[in-house]
Formats: sequence, structure tokens, C-alpha cells
Amino acid sequence: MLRATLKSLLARKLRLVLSGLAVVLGVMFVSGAFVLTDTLGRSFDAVFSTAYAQTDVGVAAKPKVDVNEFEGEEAAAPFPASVVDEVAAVPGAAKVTGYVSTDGARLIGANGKVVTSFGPPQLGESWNPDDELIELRDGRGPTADNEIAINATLADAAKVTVGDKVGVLTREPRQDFTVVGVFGYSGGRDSLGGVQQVAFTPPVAQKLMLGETGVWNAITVKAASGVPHEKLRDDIAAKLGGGYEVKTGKQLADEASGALKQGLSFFNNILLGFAGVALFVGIFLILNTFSIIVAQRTRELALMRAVGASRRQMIGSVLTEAVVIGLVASVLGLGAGVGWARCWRMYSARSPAGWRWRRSACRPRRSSAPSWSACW
Amino acid sequence: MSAEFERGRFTAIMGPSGSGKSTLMHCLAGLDSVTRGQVAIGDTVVTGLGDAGLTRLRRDKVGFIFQQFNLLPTLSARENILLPLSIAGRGPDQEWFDTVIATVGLGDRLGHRPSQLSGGQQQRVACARALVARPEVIFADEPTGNLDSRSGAEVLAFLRRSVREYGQTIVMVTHDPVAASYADRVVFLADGSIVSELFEPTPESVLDTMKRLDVLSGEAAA
Repeated sequence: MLRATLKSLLARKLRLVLSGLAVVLGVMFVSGAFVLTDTLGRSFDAVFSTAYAQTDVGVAAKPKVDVNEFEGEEAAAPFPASVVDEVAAVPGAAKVTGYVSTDGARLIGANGKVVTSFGPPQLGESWNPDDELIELRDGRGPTADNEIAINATLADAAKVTVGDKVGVLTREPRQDFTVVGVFGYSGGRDSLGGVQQVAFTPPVAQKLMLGETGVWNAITVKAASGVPHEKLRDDIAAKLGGGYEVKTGKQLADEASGALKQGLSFFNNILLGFAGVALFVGIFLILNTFSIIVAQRTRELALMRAVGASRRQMIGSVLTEAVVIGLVASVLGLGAGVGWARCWRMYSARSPAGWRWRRSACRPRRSSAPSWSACW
Repeated sequence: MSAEFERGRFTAIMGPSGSGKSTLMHCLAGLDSVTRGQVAIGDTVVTGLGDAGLTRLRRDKVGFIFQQFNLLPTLSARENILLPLSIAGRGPDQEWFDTVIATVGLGDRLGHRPSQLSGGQQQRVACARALVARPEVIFADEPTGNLDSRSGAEVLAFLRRSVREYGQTIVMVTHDPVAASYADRVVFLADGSIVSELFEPTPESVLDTMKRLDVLSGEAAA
């Protein structure tokens, strides 16, 4: 009986394929949407936990003006360099480093045009030779005021190499620099999440990115061994008072990826919406196909009845067909969904941060915490 | 009307179109239900059986041979023959299966699909399918209607043998006097009632009876 059902199923391959297709497409959309957003979310987790790996506690000034992320760039909130000494005086802080890192350093490429970015920020930063995350690929760090190092992503985009003279647009009018170094990140990554970085010597970075020398806009603190990060955070916050945001590296990473994932869940909902439409249409398609199948099989079913099959066996036979099609098509759809998600992911891997339509949202940042203030 | 079909005999039902022979057979087999009266096969009263009862009846007591063969195109000849048994969840009696196959002469064609068989071979597969479950009675509806005379003769000879040698009971509806002559007894129907009966028929005697009945009905009409 079962064999007869399966054989008749296999004998009508086109019918099988067509009714299976509706199921495959619906399942593919749903599974693909989930797999894609999940893998993207996890890769962002990885990026951020790397970005904040060297940060035990991060300090930034509270922005003076709250800027809605959707309306414009957040203003960098500089604070005097003396804050570094204040933080360093807190017991348990082993190594305290001040940073400059804000959006708005635009390199002029080999073709004489400004290098653009689809979403990821273009950071201007202060060069810190002790940064453990950075791997110099070529050349050295900037030591003179007319020297810069850039990350490999930017070097590729601008098609410049060590020794080239390039112009950089910042708050100030165009200034010319010599590229003396190209750097990347551990694991062969050209950047964290597609960010373009221009690293100046600290005084130049302060002047060009923050408007005056002698200020930073972020501090990273390495805790002395055995000091809990949370305790250090609370001590620093108590010392600095209300004008500063103090967070542990883990907090920063979680918040940054949390904000991105919120964006991703929006994306996920769109995909699921499509999947829902596909399934809804699929339901009618499947229903229709099955009523055609049963109509086609009427003769066969009548014969089965005549040679002694019970009503239950007939229903079982039709249900078996439905279950087999459903099962096989679901598995195929699942595989197709995973494959589809992987293809899309591979395609988007070239500019992973291209997913971020919120330009100023929590950018992954090497070892410091300058921009997490944008996360609220 | 009232009719009996004896066990172990080959009975043919004849009559002009619209005389009710197919209706009679459908009622006997439990395919149609009767509005009045009673049908019984062996000890089983068919009338008033529910769906489950009719299923059991078709499974155990009744076999069918159709004019259109009605084999499942996706199954091989062997699978078609064993279909009623597999539906009932029983294994075949191997000895009986071999006997049936030898009788219908299909030994070398069991692996073929129906589309690879000739009409006569397909009908012999259908006969084997009806026989292999050893039903109390086999109903054959114009079994030779779609066959040329030679294949038809083979099938009929085979049906008669299964009655003579294995004690099978067969009720056959037919138009064809030659086909009817293979039976032990021919029942003539007209307008829903039995009008005549023949025992040990020959084609000629059947044809004579048919002519006589035609004249009778013509006179009645006049």
C-alpha cells in the first residue's frame, strides 16, 4: 500500500516538483532570513569584542548637545588632556591612554577625488604606537606632522601606497600629507567592519579633528591585574563626576553590537515579511496543487477502493503524499535558505558595514571608546 | 427480481443495453446500494453494510475484472497482482500465486509495467489480481469488451479453467454470445427482469435465444 503510494508519487515527477516548489520557496525565505540575520549578528559580535578587547574601561565626555542619530553626525566632545592624569591617579588603573577618534577625515585618492564610504565612518585618529590590535602591514607610524598612516581598507579604496603624497579634508581645509604606513588588524583583516581610518600624530589629530591641541575625546584604561573592571569603572566615574561616561569594555562591546542588532532585527522583519507573503501565496498554490493531485488520482483511488482499500487507507495515501512532499521540500528549502544566506553574506563581506544605514551609529573602533556616546 | 448464482459455477448475464445487467452486478458487488430487497454473498448480507463492512467484503469476498483492465500504471504486473493482498496487509500464498501465474501464462512478464503489456496480457494480469485473493465470487464486467477475439478467447478459457479446476465462482456481464458460451449458465435480462435462462450454452443457442427475445420484445412493443 505504502509502496503503491510512493511509486505513484515518483511516477509523476513534474507534479511532484511543482507542488514541492511552493513549499521550497516559502521555507527558503523564512530559514534564509533567520540564518542571515543570525550570522550577521554573530559576526558583528565578534567585530566588537575584538574592537574592545584591549579596553578594560573606556571614558568619554558626555556630548554637550544630544544629536539624534538619524538627523546628523554627533559632535565630538573633547576634554582636556589633564583628565588622563586624573584617571591614571585612580588606584587600579595600570595604563591610561588618551585618544582622538572622530568621523570626518576624508582622504583624496590617487584619482584626485575624495574617497567615499557607503555607511562606515571615515575616522580621523591619533596614532598610538602601543596599540596591540593594530598590525602594521607596510612602513611605519607617523612621527612628523606631515605624515599619516592609513588602514588597508582605505589604502585599497584610495589606491595609494606608502610614500604617496595625499590630501586630507577635515574640519580644516585640505592639507597635504605623506603616507608613511598602512596598517590592518589581527587575523588579516583590513579594518574592523569596513571603517576607513586616517591616523595622524596626536597633536595634528587634536588640531584637525577636535579643533584645538591638548584635548582628547576618548580614554581607554587597562586595569591592573586582579582589579575588577566594574570596580575600576565605578572608581573612575566617582573621580571624574557627572560630565563623563565611564563604561567597561564589555559594556561598550555589548551596547555597540546591541544597537546594530536592533537595526538587524528591523532588516529581519522585512525579510520575514517577504517570507510571510511567499508562504501566504504558497498556501493557495499548495492547496490548489493538491486538489488537482487528488482529482488526477481519483481513478487510481477508486480502483484501490474496489480492490479492498478502506477509506482510512485512501486518506492515508493522500496524506502520505502530502507529508513526503512537505518533508522533502522543507529540507530542500532549508538547505536553499542556508545557501542563499551564505551567498548574500559572502557578497556583503566585501563591505560588511554596508549594512549600517545609520552612519553615525556605534562604529567598531580599535581599542578605544570614542564613539559609543552615539549609541544612546 | 430474484436470482441466485451458485458457488463454483461460471454464470453469464446477458441482455440489451439498458436491461439492467450492470446495475444488477453493481448491486451484487456492493458498489451500488439497493433501495429494496436483499443481496447476500455466501453468509454475508451485503444490504445495509456500512463503509467498513463493505471494505471488508471487497477485501475478502469479492474480486473484480473490468472492461478497462484498471491496472495501476506505476506498478509492475507482479505488484498489481499482489495489490489486493498488500492492501489487506496479507502475504501471498506462494504456491497459489505460482499456480495462478502459471495458469494465466505470465511467468516471464511479471516485472513489466502495464504499458509494456498487450491488452490481452493486461486483462490476464487483472484476472490474476482477482484470483490471487481467492474471493468467494469474482464479478467480471465485459472482460473481453476491449480485446480482440483471440485474446478474449484466452481470457475466457482461463476464467472457465479457474472455475472448473479451482472451484472459483464467477459472474460475468457480457454482450458477446461467444463469450457467454464459455459460461455454465446464461441469464437473460430485459427491462430489469430475468426473461430467460440457458444451461451449457453454445454460441448458437445463445444467439437463438437472443433472437427469440428480440422478436418477443418487438411483438410486445407492437
